[in-house]
Amino acid sequence: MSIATKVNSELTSFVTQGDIFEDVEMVESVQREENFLTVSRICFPFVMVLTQDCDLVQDQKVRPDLVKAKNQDKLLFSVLVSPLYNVEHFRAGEHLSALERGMEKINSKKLRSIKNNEIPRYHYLEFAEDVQLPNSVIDFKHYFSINLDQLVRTKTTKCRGAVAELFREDIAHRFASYLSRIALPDPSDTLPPSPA
Amino acid sequence: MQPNEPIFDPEYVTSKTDATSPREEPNQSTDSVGVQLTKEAETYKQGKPYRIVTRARIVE
Repeated sequence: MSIATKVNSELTSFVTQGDIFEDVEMVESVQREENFLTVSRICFPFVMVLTQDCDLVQDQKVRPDLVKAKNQDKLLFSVLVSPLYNVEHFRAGEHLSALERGMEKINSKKLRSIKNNEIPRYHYLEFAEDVQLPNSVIDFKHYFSINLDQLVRTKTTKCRGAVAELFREDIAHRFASYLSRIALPDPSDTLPPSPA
Repeated sequence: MQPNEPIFDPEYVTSKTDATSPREEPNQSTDSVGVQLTKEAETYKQGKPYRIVTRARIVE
């Protein structure tokens, strides 16, 4: 049985771990061809901040007044976030359909395991009815960095809530575990030849 | 701004959600920075991630 993820609706003015932002854009590529610049961005309906809270606090203590700061040792270049996918789209394997990516359809048995957070790759978030967010899945293969200033500027307008402490720490811990897993070679896995 | 820093000519800013089919004319709503979105961007309403491609001429 899945446990409802507690979300704090009373937000601080700082960006914190567990904050859920809406309409966050990731720069996919920037290409210059002669006098034209092409910028491709992917807009994610919801993302959650995964960067360690203490790092965020230390950065935002000095960020407002860099002139007075003794040094900029604690400043971050970016913040790590992970998209939240609507569980219904995810189950149907259609959560990335607008990006022309077909994803695995999830059968009932696997969905049950995902909802119980038994599969290391995924984290299921079930929200209480008073939280205006769809029940979602985080895929730990999907994450990107975003400029912290951008999140600070949009904190009051785009932050929809913050996952409560214990729950966010559970997510961060599972994410760290997933990234630090030991990748053992499978002899049957061969990569396609590199493009010329 | 530095004197030789490239700037964007807004008349040439277009937007698409499909990078594989460039040059399509945008035909939908306008986002906060005045870039038009194509129909595919409407998938946002379904809560799915979508792509925006902006092409701009650099004015040296």
